[in-house]
Amino acid sequence: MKKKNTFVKKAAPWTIPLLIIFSWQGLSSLDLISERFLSSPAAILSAAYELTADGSLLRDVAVSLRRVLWGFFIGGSIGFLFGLFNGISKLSEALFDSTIQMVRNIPHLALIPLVILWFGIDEAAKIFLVALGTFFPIYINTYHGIRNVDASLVEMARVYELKGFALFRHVILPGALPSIFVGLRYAIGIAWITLIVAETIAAGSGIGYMAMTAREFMQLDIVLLSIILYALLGKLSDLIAKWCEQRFLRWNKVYQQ
Amino acid sequence: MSVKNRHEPLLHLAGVGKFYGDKEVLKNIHLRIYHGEFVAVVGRSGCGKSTLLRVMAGLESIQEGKIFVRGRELKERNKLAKIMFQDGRLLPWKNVAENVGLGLKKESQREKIASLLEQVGLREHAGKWPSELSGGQQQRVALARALIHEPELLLLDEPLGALDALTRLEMQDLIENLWRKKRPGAVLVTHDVEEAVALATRVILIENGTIAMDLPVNLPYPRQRDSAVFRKLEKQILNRIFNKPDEPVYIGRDEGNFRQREVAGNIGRV
Repeated sequence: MKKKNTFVKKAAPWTIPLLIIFSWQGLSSLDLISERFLSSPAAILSAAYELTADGSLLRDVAVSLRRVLWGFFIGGSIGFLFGLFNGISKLSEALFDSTIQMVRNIPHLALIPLVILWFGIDEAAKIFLVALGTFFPIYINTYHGIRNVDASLVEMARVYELKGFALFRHVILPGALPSIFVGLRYAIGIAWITLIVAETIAAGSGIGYMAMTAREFMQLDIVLLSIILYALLGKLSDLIAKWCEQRFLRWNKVYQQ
Repeated sequence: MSVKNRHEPLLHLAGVGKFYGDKEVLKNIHLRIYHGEFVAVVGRSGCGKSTLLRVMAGLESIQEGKIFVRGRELKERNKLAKIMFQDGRLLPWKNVAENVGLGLKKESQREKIASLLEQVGLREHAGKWPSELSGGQQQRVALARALIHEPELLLLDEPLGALDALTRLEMQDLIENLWRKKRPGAVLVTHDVEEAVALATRVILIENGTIAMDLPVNLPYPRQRDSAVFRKLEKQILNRIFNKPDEPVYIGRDEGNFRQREVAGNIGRV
C-alpha cells in the first residue's frame, strides 16, 4: 500500500507534461497542427539530434552556461559581500545601502543599449548584465538575513565566549543562510532571464543566438528547441540550488523530508 | 581569580540601580552572593528579577552603584558566569553535541561533551538537531552547555518556565543534583515559590525593583516538599508576596535592602 503511494506521488508530476507531449505529437501527426505554427515533438527531437551531431548545440549550450555561471559568480559574490558588510557594519550600511537601493529600482535590462555601446556584443556585455541582475537579489537577502539573525542567539554566543570570526561562522552566517538561499534561487531565475534577453538581442553565439538565426531561416523546430533548452537549464540550476538548500539547511524543519 | 577565598563574595552588588529610560527597574540593590550558595530570586512578573540576573551576568549596563566579581569591579561581561536562558537558545543548526561544546577549546572536548550528556541523560541524542527534541530535552542541553564550562557562577533565568509540571519536577531534581556535585554559586530566577524553596539555600523576593525579603533556607537536600517546615517557608514567602499578615519576616545580612514593613496594614493592596 505504502509502496504504491510513493509511486503515485513520484509519477504524479509527470502525468500532465507527458499527456501534453503525447497529444501534441498526436495532433501534429494528424496534421491538425500546422508545421508552420508548431513543430511536432518528434521534429524537435530530430533537430536536437542533428545539432548535437554537428557539435553546434553543445557549443551554444556551453557558451550560454559559461555566461550564466560567470555572471552569477561575479554578481553573486559582490552582492554577498555588500550584503555581509552592510548587515554587520552600521557604517558600511550608512555608506552604501541607500545608493544600492536607489540603483536597484532601475530595471537592469533597460541598460542593454548602454551596455552594447560600452562592450559591443562581446562576452563582457552578457556577463555584465547577468552579474547586475543577480547582484540585487543576493545583496538584499544576505543583508536581511544577517540583520534578522536572532539577537538572543548572538547574546547567548557572547556569553559562551564566541566573538569575531567564530561568532560569524557559528552563529551569524548559519542564521542568515535560509534567507541567503532564497536570494540565491531567485537570482538564478533572474540570471537565465537576463541571459535569454541579452542573447536574443545581441549575440554571436549561445542558445539565444541559435534561436534568432533559426528564426531568420524559419526553422521553427530549432526555435522551439532553444526555448525548451532554456527551460531545462533553468530547471536544472534550480534543482541544484534546491539540493544545496536541503543539504545546508537540514537542521531546519522546513527542509527536512 | 584562581584563589577561591570563601570569605570573599563571588558577586557583590553594591547599591545597584538600573533605568530603562525614565523607568527605574532596579533600585539600590545590595547583595552578596558567596561560593556554594544557591540563591533563588522570586517575584511577580515585571518586578525586575530577570533584569537583576542579566545585570549579574554583565549583559546590562547599570546607572547606579557598582558590581564586584571576586572583589574586582565588573566592567563588561561577567566571565565567571554562564547563563541558562528560559528559551534555551540552542543553535538550531548545530546538533546536540555541538551545542553543548559551544565555545569549548578543542582539546578534551569530546570526552567532556559525552560525560555532560550522560549526566543530563541525553547520551543517545548527541547527534540530533534541537528541533527534534522536546522542550525539556532542549533545556537539558542548555544546562549541559552551561555546566561544561564549570562556571563559578551559574545563572538560571526561569529555565523551567516553559515546561510542563512533570518535566519541571524532573529538571529540578537534575539541577539540584548537578549543582550539589560542585556547588558553584547559583542564582535561579523563578516565579515558582515551591521551586525556589526546593532548590535554594536562600530565597530573595524582589518587589518593584528592590529586595523586599531575604530568607535563608536551611533544609537538608533532597528536600521533603510535604514537610511542615518546607510548607511553612513557602507559605511565608507567598504571604509576603500577596502582602498578607504573617509573622515578622527575617531581615537578611545585607545592609540597606529593605525596611521592616508594616505588613499587617497592607491587606488587600495586591
